[in-house]
Amino acid sequence: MINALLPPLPNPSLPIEADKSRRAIDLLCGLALLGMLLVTIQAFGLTDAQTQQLISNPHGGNYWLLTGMNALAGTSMAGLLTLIFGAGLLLFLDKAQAVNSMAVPELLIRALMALLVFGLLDALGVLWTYDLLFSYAILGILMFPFRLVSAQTLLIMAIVLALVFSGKSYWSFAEQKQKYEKYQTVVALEKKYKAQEKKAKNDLKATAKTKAKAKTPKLTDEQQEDKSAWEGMVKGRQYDKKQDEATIKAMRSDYTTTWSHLLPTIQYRQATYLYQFGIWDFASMMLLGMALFKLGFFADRFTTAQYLGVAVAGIGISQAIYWFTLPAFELKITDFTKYISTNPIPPDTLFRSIGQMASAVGWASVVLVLYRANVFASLWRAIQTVGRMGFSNYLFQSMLGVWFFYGYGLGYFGQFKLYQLYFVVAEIWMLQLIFSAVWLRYYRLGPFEWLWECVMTGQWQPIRLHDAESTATPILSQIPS
Amino acid sequence: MEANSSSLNIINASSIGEDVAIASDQVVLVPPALDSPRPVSKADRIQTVDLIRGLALLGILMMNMPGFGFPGTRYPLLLTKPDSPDFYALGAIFVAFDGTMRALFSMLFGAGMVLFTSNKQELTGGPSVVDYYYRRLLWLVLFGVFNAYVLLWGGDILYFYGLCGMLLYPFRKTKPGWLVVMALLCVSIGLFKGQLGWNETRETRAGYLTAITAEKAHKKLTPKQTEAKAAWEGIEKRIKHDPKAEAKVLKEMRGDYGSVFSHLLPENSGSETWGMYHGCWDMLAMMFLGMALLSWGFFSNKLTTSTYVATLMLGYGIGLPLGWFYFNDGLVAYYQHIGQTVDDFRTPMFAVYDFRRAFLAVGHASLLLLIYRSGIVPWLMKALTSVGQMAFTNYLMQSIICTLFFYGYGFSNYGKLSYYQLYYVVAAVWVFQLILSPIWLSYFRFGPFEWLWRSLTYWKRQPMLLSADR
Repeated sequence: MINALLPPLPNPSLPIEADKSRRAIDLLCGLALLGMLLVTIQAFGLTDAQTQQLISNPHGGNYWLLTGMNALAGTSMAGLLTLIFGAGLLLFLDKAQAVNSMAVPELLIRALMALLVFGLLDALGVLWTYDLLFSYAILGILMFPFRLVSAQTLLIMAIVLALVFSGKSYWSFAEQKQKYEKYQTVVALEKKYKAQEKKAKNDLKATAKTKAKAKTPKLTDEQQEDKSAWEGMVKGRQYDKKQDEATIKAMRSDYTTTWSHLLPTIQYRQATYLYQFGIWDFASMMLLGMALFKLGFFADRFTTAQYLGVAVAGIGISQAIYWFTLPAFELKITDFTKYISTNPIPPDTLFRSIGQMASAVGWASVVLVLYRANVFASLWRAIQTVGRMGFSNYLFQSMLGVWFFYGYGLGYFGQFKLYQLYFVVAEIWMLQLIFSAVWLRYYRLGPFEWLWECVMTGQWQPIRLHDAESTATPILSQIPS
Repeated sequence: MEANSSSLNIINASSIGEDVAIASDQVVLVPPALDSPRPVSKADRIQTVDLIRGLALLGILMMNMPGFGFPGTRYPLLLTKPDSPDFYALGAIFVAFDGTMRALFSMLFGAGMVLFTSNKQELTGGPSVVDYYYRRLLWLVLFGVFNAYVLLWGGDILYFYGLCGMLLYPFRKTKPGWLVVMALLCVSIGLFKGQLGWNETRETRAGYLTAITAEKAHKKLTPKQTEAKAAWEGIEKRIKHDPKAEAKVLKEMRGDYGSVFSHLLPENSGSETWGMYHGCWDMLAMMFLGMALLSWGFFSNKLTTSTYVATLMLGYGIGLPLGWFYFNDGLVAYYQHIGQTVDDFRTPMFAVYDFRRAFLAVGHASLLLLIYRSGIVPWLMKALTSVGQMAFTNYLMQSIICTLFFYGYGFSNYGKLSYYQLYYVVAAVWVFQLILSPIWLSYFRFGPFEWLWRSLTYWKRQPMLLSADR
């Protein structure tokens, strides 16, 4: 059985054609996976500095492409994937049945632990820096105890955790601001000391012949530290051509060079980022997904007017936030000092989580309404197929991206203009749409889903469609027609 | 699902079906200190698990006390003065105890997981054992955050245990042999990571040595050589006594709450981040080992006296010599002549850490169980069992007492005692907890923090008074 980036459902209690929420979740998972690539491709193919240069330098077509892509898929698609993951946790607990004398909660925990390992392999083996599976696995386990909580409480918790994210963003902004203020005091002091020194020297010259040196106060160690702390931070954010070239060189080298180059970043994401920010971001989106699942959002239980209302509100709010905070986001890149000194709050990070929630739910509603109304039906069916083997497709995206751009593959890292990346996106989309449709014609579930199911249940599972027929589930109905 | 999910109150067993209520009732009987309900006839088993936990709980304070009251900047002074009482105290701690009590604690945590979840059926429709298990661990994580960021104990373990515990559940029925394999695997991963770090240190050292030779030959250093030289000098500086840094630490730790908080903030967030990310193997290894030891009957006092004598001999026989190497050729050598140590050892002496403490922990536990069996000091065994029964409260109480005794917003004794004098404070806390725990438990069903934890887990106020039960 196939399910969106989620453990395959062992012995589902409902066949898929009778299970509206599973189909909706597959569809949204496919959408999120394919949509996410619009943003992740930038990280696969270019250095951060290269994308930031598009903003710092005079704006051209690539700048507008970047800005447009970020508006469309910047946070919405990864957010949607997280949301779907949360919903999928409940779907699994709801619809799966015991296997190999293991109850459903245990199967889920085992599946999530296997996911943790897959995530480690994706990040530290395939070397996909922005791997999500590792974080999803940990957050999935942390969210498990909330499986019986009411939709309303889940919704409140989701919003509270999103606000924690904002609070932490504000805190880190305030710390930077404090550093800047300390720096300013030290610089002012330094000026004053220099003036004094000059004056003292002049005085000495005037009185002449005294051998006594001018005694002027000096900056204490602590003050020196305050000064260099800020200077270091600003310098670290400036474009450094040499460093950028070194990065590109490392990424185009052999596996071990790339590995050592990426290791600190990957570990930073898995540990520090997850601990400080990621956990709140992921947890709030997952809880929102769980709440929506309980409210019947995926089971087609909303009226069309309700879906439309959510769509308009969600997209409206998120776009408003995006365009409203865009100047601050860009200022942070072009002139960090000005960003810190002129803003009382960090607009770009403070509203990020709320914007992400709104956009993820908004886009999901748009698609669900169209899906229900049978508009673009064949497109949705194709995307659904991608979502049905979402886990495999997620890993394929990592592998394809890495193979195309990194040095131990074709080595195109840092070589493309931004717009050229989108030809690669189109190529990967095409591959995934076709591959998923063909694969699922012959096999019960995606290749990595199969592996995952085997690890989860502790048994070899059938992979071919006709092997599974004997288990008397209406397997044939799963073939995408 | 909707019917059950009106609010968090669903955890209240009375609101669900009768089947669940009965099962939950069983669950409610669970003493929160990681134990499980069990028939009375096996009451003896609980006792020895609690007894060993009591020892671990008190013992852990020996290693924690320096963290509470002794600036880390003083270790270089201490370790380079081999004839001082401080040096002997440190030696004794490192040879015989360092890490061992935490090991026992982790082992019993793993064992407690098995006891908590065993012999219970999963239930459909309502919260079952697995729900309670994960809820209590999530609360434990939060208690850990509270211990670190509010009580300001920089060496908290609850956070780590809560998270690591979440990975144990699927292994609750695994055979002991495989559990030992898992433990060895975890130790190996830890060793591998340690070796990577050591290799890096050795590379830095080698780079430094070439730089020095080049300098002596009056050659100009390449940028890489300059870097390596600076990096090594940085390492050497870190193990030298730095009075300026120490003065800063003393000032901050003797300051008000805000000052101590911001001093410990990077330490706390650093350990909860990287300590968890790189160090979870340390805890997981011992938890798996504890699960294995439980199913062999080691903790439940089921083995023969001669077996315990054998494990005692084996534990101390291997653990103590390794402990000596660990202290003398690891720690002392590193501080006294770091260059030579890094040159001489391809593998750091610290690598014996986990093997050494596993053996010593088994040795300590065997000794305790033999004393328990011999019936020499029944009053002490009873008191230790009580300490172990309210281990959670006692652990947090140690944080409260010690932070108030040492930190600036309390009695501000930070850095005022020499190393060996810290152990007077340890003894005082021991006596206090050994006396208070049995008295408390003669009035109440469990310790105050156990009560809180349990009430949060079941999301229902739990009975507290012993008499209310009768």
